[in-house]
Amino acid sequence: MNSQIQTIAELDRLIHEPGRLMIVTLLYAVDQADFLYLQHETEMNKGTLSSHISKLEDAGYVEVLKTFRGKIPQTLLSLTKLGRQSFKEYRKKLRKAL
Amino acid sequence: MQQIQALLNRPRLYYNIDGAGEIAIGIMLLGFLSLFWMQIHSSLHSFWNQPYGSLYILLICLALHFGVKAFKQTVTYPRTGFVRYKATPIWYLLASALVAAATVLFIAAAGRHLLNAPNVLGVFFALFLAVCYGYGIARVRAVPWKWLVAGAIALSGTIVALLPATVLQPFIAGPSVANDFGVKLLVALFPYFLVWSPLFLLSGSITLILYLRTTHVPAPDGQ
Repeated sequence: MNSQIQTIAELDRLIHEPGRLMIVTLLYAVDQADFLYLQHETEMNKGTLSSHISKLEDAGYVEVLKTFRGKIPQTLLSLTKLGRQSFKEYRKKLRKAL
Repeated sequence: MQQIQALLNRPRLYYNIDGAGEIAIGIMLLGFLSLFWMQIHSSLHSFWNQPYGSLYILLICLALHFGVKAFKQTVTYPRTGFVRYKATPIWYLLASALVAAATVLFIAAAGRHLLNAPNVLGVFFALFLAVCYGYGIARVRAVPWKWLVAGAIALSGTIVALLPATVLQPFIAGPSVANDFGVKLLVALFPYFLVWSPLFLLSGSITLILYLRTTHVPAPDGQ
Protein backbone atom coordinates (compact mmCIF):
# COMPACT_ATOMS: atom_id res chain seq x y z
CA MET A 1 0.00 0.00 0.00
CA ASN A 2 1.16 3.55 -0.79
CA SER A 3 2.73 5.05 2.38
CA GLN A 4 0.50 8.16 2.19
CA ILE A 5 -2.63 6.02 2.08
CA GLN A 6 -1.19 3.89 4.88
CA THR A 7 -0.81 7.08 6.98
CA ILE A 8 -4.47 7.99 6.40
CA ALA A 9 -5.49 4.51 7.54
CA GLU A 10 -3.47 4.98 10.72
CA LEU A 11 -5.23 8.22 11.75
CA ASP A 12 -6.80 8.02 15.20
CA ARG A 13 -10.49 7.51 14.36
CA LEU A 14 -11.64 8.67 17.77
CA ILE A 15 -10.10 12.09 17.19
CA HIS A 16 -10.77 12.15 13.44
CA GLU A 17 -14.55 12.53 13.83
CA PRO A 18 -15.22 16.27 13.14
CA GLY A 19 -17.09 16.99 16.39
CA ARG A 20 -14.46 15.32 18.58
CA LEU A 21 -11.65 16.90 16.54
CA MET A 22 -13.08 20.34 17.39
CA ILE A 23 -13.30 19.47 21.10
CA VAL A 24 -9.79 18.02 21.30
CA THR A 25 -8.28 20.93 19.30
CA LEU A 26 -9.94 23.54 21.52
CA LEU A 27 -8.87 21.75 24.69
CA TYR A 28 -5.32 21.32 23.37
CA ALA A 29 -4.98 25.11 23.12
CA VAL A 30 -5.97 25.73 26.75
CA ASP A 31 -5.24 24.32 30.16
CA GLN A 32 -8.89 23.91 31.14
CA ALA A 33 -12.28 24.95 29.79
CA ASP A 34 -15.86 24.38 30.82
CA PHE A 35 -18.74 22.73 28.98
CA LEU A 36 -20.35 26.08 28.18
CA TYR A 37 -17.20 27.32 26.44
CA LEU A 38 -17.04 24.21 24.25
CA GLN A 39 -20.73 24.51 23.48
CA HIS A 40 -20.27 28.16 22.49
CA GLU A 41 -17.25 27.49 20.31
CA THR A 42 -18.41 24.30 18.61
CA GLU A 43 -22.10 25.32 18.35
CA MET A 44 -23.11 21.73 19.15
CA ASN A 45 -26.19 20.98 21.21
CA LYS A 46 -25.78 19.69 24.77
CA GLY A 47 -26.64 16.09 23.94
CA THR A 48 -24.20 15.75 21.04
CA LEU A 49 -21.43 17.48 22.97
CA SER A 50 -21.99 15.27 26.03
CA SER A 51 -21.91 12.15 23.89
CA HIS A 52 -18.59 13.14 22.27
CA ILE A 53 -17.08 14.07 25.63
CA SER A 54 -18.13 10.72 27.10
CA LYS A 55 -16.36 8.87 24.28
CA LEU A 56 -13.21 10.93 24.77
CA GLU A 57 -13.39 10.40 28.53
CA ASP A 58 -13.80 6.63 28.11
CA ALA A 59 -10.71 6.58 25.90
CA GLY A 60 -8.77 8.46 28.59
CA TYR A 61 -8.22 11.52 26.38
CA VAL A 62 -10.29 13.96 28.43
CA GLU A 63 -10.59 14.50 32.16
CA VAL A 64 -13.98 15.69 33.42
CA LEU A 65 -14.38 17.50 36.71
CA LYS A 66 -17.84 18.32 38.04
CA THR A 67 -17.86 21.36 40.30
CA PHE A 68 -19.91 24.45 41.17
CA ARG A 69 -19.59 28.12 40.24
CA GLY A 70 -21.49 29.64 43.15
CA LYS A 71 -24.72 27.64 43.12
CA ILE A 72 -24.54 26.75 39.44
CA PRO A 73 -23.06 23.39 38.42
CA GLN A 74 -20.00 23.62 36.22
CA THR A 75 -18.30 20.90 34.19
CA LEU A 76 -14.59 21.51 33.74
CA LEU A 77 -12.71 19.68 31.02
CA SER A 78 -9.05 19.23 30.21
CA LEU A 79 -6.96 16.99 27.99
CA THR A 80 -5.01 14.25 29.73
CA LYS A 81 -1.36 13.52 28.87
CA LEU A 82 -2.56 10.70 26.66
CA GLY A 83 -5.03 13.05 24.96
CA ARG A 84 -2.33 15.64 24.26
CA GLN A 85 0.06 13.00 22.95
CA SER A 86 -2.63 11.48 20.73
CA PHE A 87 -3.58 14.86 19.27
CA LYS A 88 0.08 15.67 18.54
CA GLU A 89 0.44 12.30 16.83
CA TYR A 90 -2.80 12.85 14.90
CA ARG A 91 -1.62 16.23 13.58
CA LYS A 92 1.73 14.79 12.57
CA LYS A 93 0.09 11.96 10.63
CA LEU A 94 -2.48 14.26 9.04
CA ARG A 95 0.26 16.63 7.88
CA LYS A 96 2.13 13.67 6.41
CA ALA A 97 -0.98 12.40 4.67
CA LEU A 98 -1.91 15.74 3.07
CA MET B 1 -4.82 21.73 8.63
CA GLN B 2 -5.71 25.41 8.33
CA GLN B 3 -9.02 24.85 10.08
CA ILE B 4 -7.23 23.05 12.91
CA GLN B 5 -4.78 25.95 13.22
CA ALA B 6 -7.71 28.41 13.24
CA LEU B 7 -9.34 26.41 16.04
CA LEU B 8 -6.08 26.38 18.01
CA ASN B 9 -6.09 30.19 17.81
CA ARG B 10 -9.69 30.53 19.02
CA PRO B 11 -8.86 30.74 22.75
CA ARG B 12 -6.57 33.72 22.08
CA LEU B 13 -9.47 35.50 20.37
CA TYR B 14 -11.71 34.54 23.27
CA TYR B 15 -9.67 36.64 25.67
CA ASN B 16 -10.96 39.83 24.04
CA ILE B 17 -14.38 38.50 23.01
CA ASP B 18 -15.97 40.93 25.47
CA GLY B 19 -13.68 43.86 24.66
CA ALA B 20 -12.31 43.84 28.22
CA GLY B 21 -8.71 43.64 27.01
CA GLU B 22 -8.99 46.76 24.87
CA ILE B 23 -10.96 48.67 27.48
CA ALA B 24 -8.22 47.83 30.00
CA ILE B 25 -5.56 49.17 27.60
CA GLY B 26 -7.63 52.34 27.10
CA ILE B 27 -7.93 52.86 30.87
CA MET B 28 -4.22 52.16 31.28
CA LEU B 29 -3.42 54.85 28.68
CA LEU B 30 -5.77 57.24 30.53
CA GLY B 31 -3.85 56.42 33.72
CA PHE B 32 -0.57 57.28 32.01
CA LEU B 33 -2.16 60.44 30.60
CA SER B 34 -3.25 61.62 34.04
CA LEU B 35 0.21 60.83 35.46
CA PHE B 36 1.90 62.70 32.59
CA TRP B 37 -0.46 65.63 33.12
CA MET B 38 0.42 65.82 36.80
CA GLN B 39 4.14 65.44 36.07
CA ILE B 40 4.08 68.18 33.46
CA HIS B 41 1.98 70.59 35.50
CA SER B 42 3.67 70.20 38.87
CA SER B 43 7.14 71.17 40.01
CA LEU B 44 10.11 68.82 39.58
CA HIS B 45 10.21 68.26 43.36
CA SER B 46 6.56 67.31 43.73
CA PHE B 47 5.30 63.79 44.52
CA TRP B 48 4.43 63.18 40.85
CA ASN B 49 7.96 63.78 39.63
CA GLN B 50 9.58 61.44 42.15
CA PRO B 51 10.36 57.81 41.26
CA TYR B 52 7.70 56.64 43.74
CA GLY B 53 5.12 58.74 41.86
CA SER B 54 4.94 55.79 39.47
CA LEU B 55 3.26 53.77 42.25
CA TYR B 56 0.12 55.45 40.93
CA ILE B 57 0.49 53.39 37.71
CA LEU B 58 1.12 50.26 39.76
CA LEU B 59 -2.17 50.86 41.58
CA ILE B 60 -3.98 51.28 38.25
CA CYS B 61 -2.41 48.04 36.97
CA LEU B 62 -3.56 46.17 40.08
CA ALA B 63 -7.06 47.64 39.84
CA LEU B 64 -7.25 46.65 36.17
CA HIS B 65 -5.96 43.14 36.82
CA PHE B 66 -8.56 42.42 39.48
CA GLY B 67 -11.24 44.45 37.68
CA VAL B 68 -10.91 42.46 34.45
CA LYS B 69 -10.90 39.22 36.46
CA ALA B 70 -14.10 40.18 38.29
CA PHE B 71 -15.73 41.32 35.04
CA LYS B 72 -14.97 38.00 33.35
CA GLN B 73 -16.30 36.04 36.31
CA THR B 74 -19.57 37.95 36.49
CA VAL B 75 -20.26 38.70 32.81
CA THR B 76 -18.22 36.58 30.40
CA TYR B 77 -17.93 33.15 32.00
CA PRO B 78 -21.67 32.79 32.76
CA ARG B 79 -22.49 33.70 29.14
CA THR B 80 -19.92 31.98 26.97
CA GLY B 81 -17.92 29.82 29.32
CA PHE B 82 -14.77 29.66 31.38
CA VAL B 83 -11.28 29.15 30.02
CA ARG B 84 -8.03 28.76 31.92
CA TYR B 85 -5.09 29.45 29.66
CA LYS B 86 -1.88 27.43 29.63
CA ALA B 87 0.90 28.78 31.82
CA THR B 88 3.39 30.77 29.75
CA PRO B 89 6.76 28.94 29.50
CA ILE B 90 9.64 30.62 31.38
CA TRP B 91 11.80 30.87 28.24
CA TYR B 92 8.99 32.82 26.55
CA LEU B 93 8.71 35.21 29.51
CA LEU B 94 12.49 35.72 29.52
CA ALA B 95 12.58 36.30 25.76
CA SER B 96 9.67 38.78 26.03
CA ALA B 97 11.42 40.61 28.87
CA LEU B 98 14.61 40.85 26.78
CA VAL B 99 12.72 42.18 23.75
CA ALA B 100 10.83 44.69 25.94
CA ALA B 101 14.08 45.86 27.59
CA ALA B 102 15.77 46.21 24.18
CA THR B 103 12.77 48.19 22.87
CA VAL B 104 12.78 50.53 25.90
CA LEU B 105 16.54 51.09 25.55
CA PHE B 106 16.15 51.73 21.83
CA ILE B 107 13.27 54.19 22.35
CA ALA B 108 15.21 55.98 25.11
CA ALA B 109 18.33 56.20 22.91
CA ALA B 110 16.35 57.21 19.84
CA GLY B 111 14.36 59.66 21.97
CA ARG B 112 17.50 61.52 23.05
CA HIS B 113 18.66 61.87 19.46
CA LEU B 114 15.31 62.47 17.86
CA LEU B 115 13.81 64.78 20.46
CA ASN B 116 14.82 67.60 18.14
CA ALA B 117 13.01 65.83 15.29
CA PRO B 118 9.88 64.60 17.11
CA ASN B 119 7.93 64.21 13.86
CA VAL B 120 10.12 61.31 12.72
CA LEU B 121 9.98 59.66 16.14
CA GLY B 122 6.21 60.21 16.32
CA VAL B 123 5.50 58.61 12.95
CA PHE B 124 7.77 55.70 13.87
CA PHE B 125 6.00 55.32 17.23
CA ALA B 126 2.52 55.41 15.60
CA LEU B 127 3.45 52.86 12.95
CA PHE B 128 5.10 50.62 15.53
CA LEU B 129 1.94 50.52 17.68
CA ALA B 130 -0.29 50.00 14.62
CA VAL B 131 1.90 47.10 13.44
CA CYS B 132 1.83 45.51 16.93
CA TYR B 133 -1.97 45.86 17.07
CA GLY B 134 -2.29 44.52 13.50
CA TYR B 135 -0.08 41.55 14.36
CA GLY B 136 -2.32 40.82 17.35
CA ILE B 137 -5.56 40.89 15.37
CA ALA B 138 -4.06 38.89 12.49
CA ARG B 139 -2.81 36.24 14.90
CA VAL B 140 -6.21 35.67 16.47
CA ARG B 141 -8.13 36.32 13.22
CA ALA B 142 -10.24 38.99 14.89
CA VAL B 143 -13.29 40.56 13.24
CA PRO B 144 -12.36 42.51 10.06
CA TRP B 145 -13.41 45.94 11.39
CA LYS B 146 -10.54 45.76 13.90
CA TRP B 147 -8.27 46.56 10.94
CA LEU B 148 -9.96 49.98 10.86
CA VAL B 149 -8.77 50.48 14.44
CA ALA B 150 -5.21 49.56 13.40
CA GLY B 151 -5.48 52.07 10.54
CA ALA B 152 -6.89 54.72 12.89
CA ILE B 153 -3.98 54.20 15.31
CA ALA B 154 -1.45 54.73 12.50
CA LEU B 155 -3.34 57.66 10.98
CA SER B 156 -4.09 59.54 14.20
CA GLY B 157 -0.52 59.05 15.44
CA THR B 158 0.90 60.32 12.14
CA ILE B 159 -1.41 63.36 12.20
CA VAL B 160 -0.34 64.18 15.77
CA ALA B 161 3.32 63.78 14.75
CA LEU B 162 2.91 66.22 11.88
CA LEU B 163 0.93 68.85 13.83
CA PRO B 164 2.81 72.10 14.42
CA ALA B 165 4.17 72.30 17.97
CA THR B 166 2.16 75.49 18.62
CA VAL B 167 -1.14 73.58 18.36
CA LEU B 168 -0.29 71.32 21.29
CA GLN B 169 1.56 73.91 23.36
CA PRO B 170 -1.40 74.95 25.58
CA PHE B 171 -1.95 71.33 26.68
CA ILE B 172 1.63 70.51 27.51
CA ALA B 173 3.11 73.71 28.88
CA GLY B 174 4.04 73.43 32.55
CA PRO B 175 6.52 74.61 35.15
CA SER B 176 8.78 71.55 34.92
CA VAL B 177 8.89 71.22 31.13
CA ALA B 178 11.84 73.51 30.38
CA ASN B 179 14.94 71.45 31.15
CA ASP B 180 14.24 67.96 32.38
CA PHE B 181 14.69 65.27 29.70
CA GLY B 182 12.20 62.87 31.28
CA VAL B 183 9.45 65.48 31.35
CA LYS B 184 10.31 66.53 27.78
CA LEU B 185 9.78 62.92 26.73
CA LEU B 186 6.40 62.85 28.53
CA VAL B 187 5.42 66.02 26.70
CA ALA B 188 6.26 64.29 23.42
CA LEU B 189 4.21 61.19 24.33
CA PHE B 190 1.23 63.02 25.81
CA PRO B 191 -0.68 63.85 22.57
CA TYR B 192 -0.34 60.29 21.26
CA PHE B 193 -1.83 58.79 24.41
CA LEU B 194 -4.53 61.46 24.22
CA VAL B 195 -5.73 60.19 20.82
CA TRP B 196 -5.08 56.49 21.36
CA SER B 197 -6.83 56.00 24.70
CA PRO B 198 -10.28 56.95 23.28
CA LEU B 199 -9.60 54.70 20.27
CA PHE B 200 -8.98 51.65 22.46
CA LEU B 201 -11.92 52.53 24.71
CA LEU B 202 -14.22 52.95 21.69
CA SER B 203 -13.08 49.72 20.02
CA GLY B 204 -13.41 47.78 23.29
CA SER B 205 -16.82 49.30 24.05
CA ILE B 206 -18.19 48.41 20.59
CA THR B 207 -16.94 44.84 21.06
CA LEU B 208 -18.54 44.72 24.52
CA ILE B 209 -21.91 46.05 23.29
CA LEU B 210 -21.96 43.56 20.40
CA TYR B 211 -21.01 40.77 22.79
CA LEU B 212 -23.76 41.64 25.28
CA ARG B 213 -26.32 41.88 22.48
CA THR B 214 -25.46 38.54 20.91
CA THR B 215 -24.93 36.38 24.00
CA HIS B 216 -27.18 35.43 26.91
CA VAL B 217 -26.76 33.59 30.16
CA PRO B 218 -28.20 30.08 29.61
CA ALA B 219 -30.79 28.55 31.93
CA PRO B 220 -29.30 27.22 35.23
CA ASP B 221 -29.57 23.60 34.10
CA GLY B 222 -27.39 24.49 31.12
CA GLN B 223 -24.38 22.48 32.19
